[in-house]
Amino acid sequence: MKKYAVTLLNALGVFATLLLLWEGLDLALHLPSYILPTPLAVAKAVVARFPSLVASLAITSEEAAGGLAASIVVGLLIALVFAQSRWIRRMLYPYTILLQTVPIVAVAPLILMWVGPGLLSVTLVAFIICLAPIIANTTQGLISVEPNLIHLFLMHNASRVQLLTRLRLPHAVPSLFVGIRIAAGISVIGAITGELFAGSSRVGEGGLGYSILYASAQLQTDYLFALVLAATVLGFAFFFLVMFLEWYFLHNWHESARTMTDE
Amino acid sequence: MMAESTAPQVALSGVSKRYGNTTVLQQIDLSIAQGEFVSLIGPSGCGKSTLLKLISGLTNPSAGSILVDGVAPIDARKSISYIFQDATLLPWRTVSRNVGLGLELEHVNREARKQKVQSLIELVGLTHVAGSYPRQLSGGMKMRVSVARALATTPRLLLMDEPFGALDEMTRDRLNEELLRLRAEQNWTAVFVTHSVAEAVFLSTRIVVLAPTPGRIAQQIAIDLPFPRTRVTRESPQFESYVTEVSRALRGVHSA
Repeated sequence: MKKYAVTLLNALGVFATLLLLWEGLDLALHLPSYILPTPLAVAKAVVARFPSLVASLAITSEEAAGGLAASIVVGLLIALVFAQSRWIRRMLYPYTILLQTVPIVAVAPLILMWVGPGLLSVTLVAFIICLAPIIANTTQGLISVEPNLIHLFLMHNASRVQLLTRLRLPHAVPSLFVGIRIAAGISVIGAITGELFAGSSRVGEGGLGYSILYASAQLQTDYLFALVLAATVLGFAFFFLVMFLEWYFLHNWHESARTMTDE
Repeated sequence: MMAESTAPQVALSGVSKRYGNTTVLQQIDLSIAQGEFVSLIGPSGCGKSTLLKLISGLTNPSAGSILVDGVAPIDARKSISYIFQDATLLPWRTVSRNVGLGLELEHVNREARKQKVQSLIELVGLTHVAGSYPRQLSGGMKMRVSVARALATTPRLLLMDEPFGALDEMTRDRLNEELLRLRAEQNWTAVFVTHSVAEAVFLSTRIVVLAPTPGRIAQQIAIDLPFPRTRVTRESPQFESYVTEVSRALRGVHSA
């Protein structure tokens, strides 16, 4: 616990020093606010436009969380199909890689064209970007069960369903979480990318991506910084939420979650 | 249902096993009577583990026939338990729930399961860790859980593939004594694979020495040491002479 406190204090110290340097640099060079606003100006922008910042944050979280949740459900189902046979994997796995390598900025406009702008299309962009890591990791978890454990189940005449629910699925949970952890971080990027193309996903207010476009067009650089800050905070929040869930479900038995509490 | 008591519980005749062009086992004839404790010993690559897999029906012979309780191994599985080289516990289950796994898979109801699990955990001396997860246990304790799980389904035949091979000698000796105590109470038949001559002599009523490439039976040695066997047994001159005899047989197999 003490070690954690020291680590935290060190990190905060570095952060404070950086802020001071930034503020000092700004003052010394007399940079105009639309090029590089001072930390203080950014803080002021956060306070002054707090309600709209929170509204944008809420929209983007909704899209990212929706895309992430859908990718977990669909990814798990696809992984279950992939786990059935090597043939299926050989046939379909290349498409998973395709999903991962195709640039999302190129696909986003297509989706918007097909689905139309709005919450759904942005969620879909987040979903697509999240899907590959979930499929890849969960499949790995489902098929990497030790052969002797399968033999053990067979010796008790276990059915296919029992093998799945009592062996393969629980065995795959740690790998599923590895996938979710990766996906959680990029889900926010996916949602913001989607918004950059979608414009306002709701009448009136838009998400962080839309607001970033708007603020940069208006040269409201201080608010732009505030939005970038909010996006970062959102990514962190997702990541830590997943870390917590992972710890909650796995700390009793799995090494990956145990190190978080024991070290 | 049950085979006649005079018929062997396990009967292999003319059994061969090939993987591709390699013959792992050739022309194995072996019968094991109810209540015997048979150890399979031999150099690596003599097909000891394959023999266990054949008796359990986890793999099929390339030639010959195998009967367990008068039927094909796969149909006799309800009365067979298998203990693997490593404890093969499910890390997400507590000790109790690991011990109850076999009963659960065989659809035994919750009440009956609970009682059985409790008495077995007591029997292997793990009551104080019943709620712990496998990662919190020592190697010896994990093996005990594995033994308890195997016995929970009241097997009539216990197949063990070097179950104590990874343990230190003291723990292994203690678990050997416990295994014999459990056998005296429950009277199952055992087929036990090991690399240790002393362990084989201590546990068995008969030792089957296997020769490698291709795996075949080289010699069978009956061990007529009285039960119950204890630490005193290990210090007796008969024990020593059996160890010498088996070691000699093994050396013959190696140099052949």
